[in-house]
Amino acid sequence: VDVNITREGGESKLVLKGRLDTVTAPQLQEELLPEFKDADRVILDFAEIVYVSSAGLRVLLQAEKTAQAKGAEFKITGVCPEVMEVFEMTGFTGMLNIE
Amino acid sequence: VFFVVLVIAFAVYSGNATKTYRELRTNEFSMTIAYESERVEKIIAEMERNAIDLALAGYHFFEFSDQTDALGESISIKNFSAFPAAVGGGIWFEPYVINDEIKRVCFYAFFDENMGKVRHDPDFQTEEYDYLTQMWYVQIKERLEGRSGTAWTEPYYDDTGTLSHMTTVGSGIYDKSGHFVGMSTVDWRIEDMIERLSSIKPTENSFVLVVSPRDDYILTYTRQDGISYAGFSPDILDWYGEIEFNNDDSVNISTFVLDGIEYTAFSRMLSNGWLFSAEVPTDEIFSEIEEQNNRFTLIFVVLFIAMMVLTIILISQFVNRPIKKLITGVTELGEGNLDKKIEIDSRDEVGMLAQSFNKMTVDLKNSIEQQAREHAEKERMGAELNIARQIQESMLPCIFPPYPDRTEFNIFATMLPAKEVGGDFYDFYLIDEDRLAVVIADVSGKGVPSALFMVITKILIKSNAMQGKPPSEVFETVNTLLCENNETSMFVTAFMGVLDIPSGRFTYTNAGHNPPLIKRKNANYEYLKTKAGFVLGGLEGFTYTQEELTLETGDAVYLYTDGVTEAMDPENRLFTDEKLLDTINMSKETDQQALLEHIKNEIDSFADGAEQADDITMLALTYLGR
Repeated sequence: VDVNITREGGESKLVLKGRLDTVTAPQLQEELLPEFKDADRVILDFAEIVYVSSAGLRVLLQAEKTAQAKGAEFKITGVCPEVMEVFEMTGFTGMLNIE
Repeated sequence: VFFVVLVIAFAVYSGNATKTYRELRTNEFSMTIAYESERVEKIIAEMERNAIDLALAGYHFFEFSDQTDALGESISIKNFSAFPAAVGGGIWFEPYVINDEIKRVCFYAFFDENMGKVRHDPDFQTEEYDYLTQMWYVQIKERLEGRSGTAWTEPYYDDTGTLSHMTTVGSGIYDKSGHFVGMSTVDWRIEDMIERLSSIKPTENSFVLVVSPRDDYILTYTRQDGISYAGFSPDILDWYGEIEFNNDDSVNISTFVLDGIEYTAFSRMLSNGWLFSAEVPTDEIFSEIEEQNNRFTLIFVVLFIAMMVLTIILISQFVNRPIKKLITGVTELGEGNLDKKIEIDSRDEVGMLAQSFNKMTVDLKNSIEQQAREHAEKERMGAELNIARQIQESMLPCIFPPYPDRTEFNIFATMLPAKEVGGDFYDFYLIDEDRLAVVIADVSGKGVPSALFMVITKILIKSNAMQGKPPSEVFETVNTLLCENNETSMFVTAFMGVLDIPSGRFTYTNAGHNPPLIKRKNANYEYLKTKAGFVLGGLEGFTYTQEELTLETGDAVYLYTDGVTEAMDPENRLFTDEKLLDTINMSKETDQQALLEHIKNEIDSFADGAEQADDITMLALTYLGR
């Protein structure tokens, strides 16, 4: 997965591209979680994410838990229908702030 | 470069030495000739002085005596007794100058070997001998030309007295008015002198020539060709004209070629007009130096070779041997002996190379050992993972049919694990006589953590279900337990259904899992609309919704994990829910085992050789009624 990070004020925006599976999830975890250290608003741009596996969901769950613990905002934008289906099926739609 | 300089230096030195030596040798020969000439010169001078002395005595006899025979005889005898170098001689007068009556007056004396003393010989005064016509008398008188001093005759062979080679020197006797009135003569037997000169032989093939050019007469010629040239004209020697003489008493050195051999001629003119020449083959003059040169060259070559050998040995010692050692060491290293140490202690490049090799060997050894350790570790882990998977699989019910005596339902399930151990599982069990529980679940991620999480989840679900709790309650309990200390945020998607066998009532709860497919009798499979609950272990205190439906005889339920719908082809395209629906409906009427095999085959042909990324887990249940 390609991760492109831009930071502005207290906001970090990560533009992702590719697949979020067992192989790439640890990479996202490494890049995503440290963002909560400084930012109080972290946005994941999912527009070019075509597949999310359970390992990918786990990273998102971790991010959500981290955000809640810190009182920060964690938002996912531009989710395609296929991925949204996964979110819906697994109940993540109720958990995550998805736009 | 060093050797080239050495050779050049030797050549230059050798050339100079040869040149100097040649000069020395040439001088040496010249001096020999000069020395021998001087001996002859001395005799010549003595002979000439004696002739002058005797002429003076003759003058006194002519001018101031009464001219008795006795006086004349006495003069001669006394003279030659006092001068034994000459064999004889005397005083001779012109016709009638002593006595008008007597034509010939002479006093000749010689050393009589028989008597052992000098005696007068009257025979020379005879008319028969007539000394006035003798060659020597005529020649001396002619060559004196009325002067004082001496004149020499040509060499001749005396066949009357001494029977040997002779030459005679004479000095004139003149009256007061200067008229020639007679002469003195001193005979010199030249055999000894010639013999001595002939014996001069500076080198093996050298020879001597003594010539009286005025007389066109060879005195001696010692070239060994079996012919005596004595008495002949020197003109018969065609090289004679090439010999050069100086006009003083110095030795002239010239060269000529005879029979293809170059000769150096050491020549000197004697004061009596003779020429004395020693001919030495030029090569022989220098043969000695050549020999010495050769010897020196030989010594030099031997030394040179010795130095070369020494140098080669040194090079071999300090360069080649270490390199050979290095090669041997490296070869041994190449053959796998990593304990090999190359023992070269020199501080040059070879030594440094050897040290580098030793360091490399140690590093290589460490690296290989490290790799071996890691490899062993991997092997061990691989083996352990295999065991883990076997344990995991063995935890799933795998005997079909599982309840041969139950005719109300059929159940079949498979799990095809991916290469890496994963977290899928299916499960089913009879809670009691009337209730059958079916579970399918998928733990997030892969590997040992997922496998462990799966085991816990499976056991928690089963133990809670066996207490008779409805599915929603089971999931709530399990969720709470899984959320405790779940720092890694692992979670499980799960679907659980409980079938009340007598009534066909099917109660189910979905915790974020793929929706099951359900088929009503004589209809197609359809996705079961379920209310999506959140995944197990995701959010503490989540309330799960329970739903229910009633199965009629012949209705079927199909549970699966995302390993089915998200199976991938080589281009990473997913199998998708739609394709699953199509696939399952193609063989909807077959028994469970055939159905699952059919789906598995379809997935395989879709994957087209792409590696299976996730576990493929399926469970099929058919309700057959009471």
